[in-house]
Amino acid sequence: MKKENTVLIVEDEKVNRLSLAKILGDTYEIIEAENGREAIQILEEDPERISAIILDLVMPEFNGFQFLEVYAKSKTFGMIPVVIVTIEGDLETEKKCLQLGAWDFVGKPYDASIIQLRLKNVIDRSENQVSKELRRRTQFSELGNIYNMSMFYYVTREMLDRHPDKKFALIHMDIEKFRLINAFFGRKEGNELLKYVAKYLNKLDYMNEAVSFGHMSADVFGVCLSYEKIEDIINFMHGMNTYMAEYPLEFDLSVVYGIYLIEDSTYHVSEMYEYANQASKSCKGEFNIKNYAFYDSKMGDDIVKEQRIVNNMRSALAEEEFVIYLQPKYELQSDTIAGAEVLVRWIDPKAGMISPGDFIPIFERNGFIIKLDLYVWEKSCQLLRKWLDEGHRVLPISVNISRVSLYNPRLVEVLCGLMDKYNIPPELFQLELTESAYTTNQSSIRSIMTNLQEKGFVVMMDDFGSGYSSLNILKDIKVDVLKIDMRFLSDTEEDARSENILAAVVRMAKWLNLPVVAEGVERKEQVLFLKGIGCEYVQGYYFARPMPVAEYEDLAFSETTVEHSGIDVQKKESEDILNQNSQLELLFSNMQQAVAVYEYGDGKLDLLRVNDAYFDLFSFEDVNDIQRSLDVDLADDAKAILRAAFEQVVENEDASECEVLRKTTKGEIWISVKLKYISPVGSRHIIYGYINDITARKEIDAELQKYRNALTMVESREETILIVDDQEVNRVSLQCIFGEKYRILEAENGRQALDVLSEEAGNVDIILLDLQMPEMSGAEFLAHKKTTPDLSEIPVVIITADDTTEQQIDTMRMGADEYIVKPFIPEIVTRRVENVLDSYRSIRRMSKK
Amino acid sequence: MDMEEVFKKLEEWGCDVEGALERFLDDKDLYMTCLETVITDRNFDKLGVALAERNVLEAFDSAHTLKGVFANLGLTPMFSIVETIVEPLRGGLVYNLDENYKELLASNEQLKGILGK
Repeated sequence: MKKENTVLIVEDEKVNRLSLAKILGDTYEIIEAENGREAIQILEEDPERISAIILDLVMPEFNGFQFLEVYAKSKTFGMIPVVIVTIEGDLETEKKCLQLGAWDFVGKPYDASIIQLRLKNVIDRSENQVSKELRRRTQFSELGNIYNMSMFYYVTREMLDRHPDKKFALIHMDIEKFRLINAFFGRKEGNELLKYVAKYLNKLDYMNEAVSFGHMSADVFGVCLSYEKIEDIINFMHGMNTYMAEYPLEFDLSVVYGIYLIEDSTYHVSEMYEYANQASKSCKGEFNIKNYAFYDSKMGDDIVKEQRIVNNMRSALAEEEFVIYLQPKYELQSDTIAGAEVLVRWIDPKAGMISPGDFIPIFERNGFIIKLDLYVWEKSCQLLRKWLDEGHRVLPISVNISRVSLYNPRLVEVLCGLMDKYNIPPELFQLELTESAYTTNQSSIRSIMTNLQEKGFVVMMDDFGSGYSSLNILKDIKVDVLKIDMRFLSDTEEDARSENILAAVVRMAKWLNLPVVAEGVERKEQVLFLKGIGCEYVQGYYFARPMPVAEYEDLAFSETTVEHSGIDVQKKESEDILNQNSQLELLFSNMQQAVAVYEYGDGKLDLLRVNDAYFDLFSFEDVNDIQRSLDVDLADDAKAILRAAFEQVVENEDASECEVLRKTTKGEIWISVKLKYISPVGSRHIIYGYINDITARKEIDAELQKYRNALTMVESREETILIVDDQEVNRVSLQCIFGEKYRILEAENGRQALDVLSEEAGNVDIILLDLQMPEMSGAEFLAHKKTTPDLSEIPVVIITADDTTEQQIDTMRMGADEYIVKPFIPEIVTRRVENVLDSYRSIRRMSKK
Repeated sequence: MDMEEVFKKLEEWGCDVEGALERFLDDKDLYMTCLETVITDRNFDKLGVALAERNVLEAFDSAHTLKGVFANLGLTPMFSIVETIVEPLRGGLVYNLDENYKELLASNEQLKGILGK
């Protein structure tokens, strides 16, 4: 008689196999294997045939544990029950076997009835499980306790029919960048996360009778929720977001919701779900400004456009439709090219140029940006290699590292690999990381950056100022260069305020020894302003648009600096400078830098010509003013310095320079004058002068000098905090927070604070200042402090009850360095005050150097 | 030799023939075959070599296997002897087991005697 079930006996000892076969032979078909390896072969050939496995643990070659390890991972036979035969009776061994997936044990010597019973049990159980499993598979998702898509549609339909009087919303939920989680942390971690989401949805079941949900695909869940007010839906999303924030993963997890408010519940559920899906797509990739969207009938068009991009992206990469463009960066003071940023353009043979604004956000969402990044990096390396091979004086180029690529744990390896492959010095290959990348997951970004810097890469912080935490970030993350987007600043309504912010950022960057690149420079006024505040580098349409590689090569490799080209040309044809119709005229009058042509001899100086920038710099309206100003606007000592510089250039017939303070209609400014000898004219000499406004730099120098002085005095003593607040309770609580570590001085108002400061002369390291106080308010105190040289350098942290962005800006405008909010949270207060102290300490250290 | 006589001698020696036969569903022929197989089991030799080479793992595997076989065949005296080898080996001790091993071989000789081999 054919027996229903087959048992595989895995046992090396013939005697044991014989006795087992004897015991089980009447009930089961028996297959024997002498060791684990043989058993696996049998199982792989025909897993369906075997109903259960009896496994000995101690076997030569491939023992029972080794077998179990393979078994536990096997998809083909991992479901077949395994009964272990052992004479161990050892708890540890049993635990280990159970962990590896064994179902039960029998001891040696065998007891026939026990073996038969256990075997029957496991086989019954597994059959039961198989049929249960089959049933589950038709209704549930592979995550387990949650419906799959078709079951979700089914139960949603039923629910909608059951409650015709209720309003429902269909929500499409997906986890942003889920693919990356899978790619970087592994599929197992990804699955755990999905189960975590499913767990939350399952809880909804108990709270709301009219809800259905399902796991639709990969990282997408569908929810159908009854609601009365829109807030109900917002609350649902809020609850979900809070729950997600608790998930323990070093990753910026966020969920995107597309919501379709069901108007006509007779539509097919899948159709409604598609509307929710479209809504979801509409809110992705906008830098997380919005993580939900309601369906709107216009959404269809965008989806088509996006789909076209997604459909073509792979072939576009293969066909090299992505083309590198370079936008030059200029050194502002000398007007010379200092390198370029690598940008990418998609030139589609049919559709023409596709804007990066259209495809980059999509690629960032679907992860394709990683491939594009890599492609651009490689192309850039090839370019550098080519230039090096051709013997050019190669300027560095910078590439963008998208946020998504930053999540790649192998980033450093990949970049170093490219440097090695093309034999490129890393300092030529600069990296731009967007500021927002720093705000999420700071610790890992910091270590990636340190790693890159150690390998010799220059790291730039792109879009500095676009995030809220910019100022803080600079302390924590050591970037090499800051990039500020002028467009970000021009968004604000008040120009003056944005200029103040920009000036403050540049000044701060200087303190930290960080060069600043201003990008998006489009207007002349911006250029003048940037020059005035000492910004070193610029990039933008005003100077040059992003251009094809060949065009950049023409520009970069033929260009000698403007300063040089001017001078070289003038040596040959000095008359041209004086000739207003010459070709040089155009160059001369359009130069961004203030230039003047002088005639000098016998101690007498005449101005022959100036350009527009010169007019702008000194705010002259009339040429006659200029001539007069040489005598009037310079103090006697400045005149002497200037004349000495002219004497020098006449003597060496080459160059000289000096720095002088002079008056303008707007007040006094510091200027640097670089003189270049052109040619003799009779007994006199033609001299070319470049004038720069260096007031900002001078001010910084002066400030640094003050720090240097202060530093020598204060470096070694205990640090002192002055708390200025009329409320005793505030003073006491701050005293509690800082008392242990710092010496504390107190004042009840601004007036008292000034008294304390004059007594303590130079011993106060930081002031914590309340704003609302009798006698002398915080603002009055600050105004006074600003104009008092000994006090102006002491950092101030404002005590406020108002934590708005507006307040932050106001605080900064008043000259404060930070603010702390009432009620005080010790950790935050300490951190902020110490941050300020730290940055002042580092300034001191730098100025000491 | 008569099968019943063998079983009797085994019982006299201290073996659990009844229990073993239960395991073989009272198939006395199969039991006999198994007994005759065990006296030439390769693990006796393997154990000897492994002990001489001080190879704990192999010695343990062989002794352990024999222990299981003896248990199944109800060969209690041999089971007790092999147990005195298995336990030290489990703890990693491979020295001073020569006497026990000799005792084990002697017990196998005794089994051979009973089986008339």
